[in-house]
Amino acid sequence: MRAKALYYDDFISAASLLKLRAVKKYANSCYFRNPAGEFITFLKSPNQLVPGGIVFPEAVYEQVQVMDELSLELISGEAKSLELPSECSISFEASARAEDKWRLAQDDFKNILDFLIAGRNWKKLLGLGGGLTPSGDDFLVGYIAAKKMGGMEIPFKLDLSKTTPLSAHFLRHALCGRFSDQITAFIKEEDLSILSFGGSSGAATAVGVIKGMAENECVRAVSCGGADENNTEVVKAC
Amino acid sequence: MLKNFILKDNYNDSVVLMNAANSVRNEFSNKNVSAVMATPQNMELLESLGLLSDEGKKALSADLIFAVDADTAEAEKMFASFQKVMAAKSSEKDSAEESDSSFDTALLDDAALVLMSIPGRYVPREAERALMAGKNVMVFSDNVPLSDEIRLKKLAVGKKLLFMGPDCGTCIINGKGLGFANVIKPGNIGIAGASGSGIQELTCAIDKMGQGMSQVIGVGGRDIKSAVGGLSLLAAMDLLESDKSTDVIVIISKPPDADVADKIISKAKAGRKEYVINFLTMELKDFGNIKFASNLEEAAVRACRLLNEKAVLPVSAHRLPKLKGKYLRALYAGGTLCYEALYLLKDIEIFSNTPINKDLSLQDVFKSIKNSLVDMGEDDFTRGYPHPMMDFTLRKQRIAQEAEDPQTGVILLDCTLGWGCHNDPAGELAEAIVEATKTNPGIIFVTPITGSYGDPQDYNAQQKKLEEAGALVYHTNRQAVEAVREILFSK
Repeated sequence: MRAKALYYDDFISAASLLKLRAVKKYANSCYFRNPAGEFITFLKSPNQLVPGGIVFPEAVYEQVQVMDELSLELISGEAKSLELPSECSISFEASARAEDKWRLAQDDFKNILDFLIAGRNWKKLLGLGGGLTPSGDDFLVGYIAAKKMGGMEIPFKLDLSKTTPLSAHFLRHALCGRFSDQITAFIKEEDLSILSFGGSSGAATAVGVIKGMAENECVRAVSCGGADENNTEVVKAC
Repeated sequence: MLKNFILKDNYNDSVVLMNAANSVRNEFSNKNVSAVMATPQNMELLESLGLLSDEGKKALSADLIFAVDADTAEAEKMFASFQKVMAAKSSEKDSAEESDSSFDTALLDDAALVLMSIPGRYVPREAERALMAGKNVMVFSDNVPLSDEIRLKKLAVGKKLLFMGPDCGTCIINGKGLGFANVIKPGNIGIAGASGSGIQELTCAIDKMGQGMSQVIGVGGRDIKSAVGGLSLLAAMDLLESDKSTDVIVIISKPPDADVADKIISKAKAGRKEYVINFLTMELKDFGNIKFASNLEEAAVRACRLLNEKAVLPVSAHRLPKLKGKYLRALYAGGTLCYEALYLLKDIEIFSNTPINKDLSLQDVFKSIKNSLVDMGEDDFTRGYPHPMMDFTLRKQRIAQEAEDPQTGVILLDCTLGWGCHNDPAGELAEAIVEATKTNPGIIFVTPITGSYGDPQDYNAQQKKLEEAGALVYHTNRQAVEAVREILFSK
């Protein structure tokens, strides 16, 4: 079917929109997969864009979301690049709110997640926690965003077969430096709408960003030579 | 018996899974239930919890495992129930992305009032936009800079609009409760107040005497400071004066700065309606159309008697038990209720985190000494937690902590009902009371209920829960505090 979109991830190729099969439908968003197993997300305006996402006007969304199988051809819409912003402005207050939200998050494995985060045991977070995108993965997406912002190396390799397919999709894009608009807006103008995303997904991602950023600052302080012994200790202790 | 069920290629988010798992836990009173995606990490954890079977080990990352520890027949029933709840949840709620129309579109609507609950520093900009669009504004948020509050209130006065807040917890406008509000009958008493829990206590007491409300306007606690000059309170008085269904106007606040008190009293004196003024703790002489009350219950009674001479509050007669411990420990969720209790017990040496007499400040707000009265709605307790009227975690912990102290004799706990707060406050408190009684059977529990008979929690059922837990229940804060006094002084 031919459809008008408002905007879409510029990473999406025309071929990737063929033979889509619906996997999950919500009122404002639905997930499809193509034969290559890639996820394509349809979003109803004014939702924000995600990697592999297409935002449709409401009327068009109503039409596409009822389909169980379709091949899609976009006849209009703006291709948007999902790269990270150049500047970061997250205030103390915004990070406190993110951490509050995370503190109240419901997850059977919350204690273990916190324990692993405190111990910087990043690799163990992969695929850990409830839901479609396990909270551990959400955290990692945020953490990766922070590392990319700071121009730092990602300190781990991930075996993406060890998590849910949808989560692997978002992590794969994150590792290539491509993130949802909500993450970008959080980093760029501390837009807190990310916190209401999903059950605890948004909050976990935001906390990942914050922890990653804080770590960048630590490392930078030492490498600039401006650090005293205390600072060095902080890094070691991290 | 361990049983695992696998749902192939599952796409449900964590909210749906958590809710469904919780519902099964409660329905079957079985804690050993888990529903997670079958990633290697999650499986490892299930195994360490003893919840992973050989069957479960075959699941793939895209699958959902439902794990229970129950006999086969029971497990089958639990799984069926889980699937049923999950199907219902995922169709009713779109938790992946929930977005409203923008604020701009909302402002185009013909609604007369905008209620905001957003981080304080965003309030100045958004509230100004709302006022410019001709809307009355209620701001639930706190942490709005004082200079912005003054600017916004001046703007509102110029436009003949109401600016309620910031930190305005309770309003009832045209019969609709906003924020923390009780279900109150319509009637002829109007309230303008700079206090949240005080307004709730007042409206509930009035409701219990058979009278009702025309409009209830909260203005935020700082309105009565000199710097703000009572801008919103005075504007609310104007509105109530011109409102046809209002016969009696009640003003309630903590003691205002002197110049603001003067303005309020002169305005009332010039008014055409009857006034009851309660500047909590201030004892003043009546004159003309103004009656003064020094506590909330008295304000409610005096307002009702202007409309019905025979209005009386229900009283609870309890035989008071003998004091076994030594001291009073009061743990309040309502700030004004706490302040009122401090005032009513001013002849006793009481330590507090919000003392009227600064010499009696609690050094460590997390630890009571001698007689202590703690306002747990203060910032020290709300950082990282919702307000104690909604979330009982910290108050329950503190009750347990007080019970550990052999010197604790009486524990006083307010219990507020209505929209906005917890859906079973008495149940939460009763649970803590029962636990504390196990630790220290000598403690006497006293609980005032701030609620109306129309409240969604069911007043009588809430009262019963507290009584069954062994608490002495009262209909107003003052009655409860007076009972505490008697207990403390009885020989």
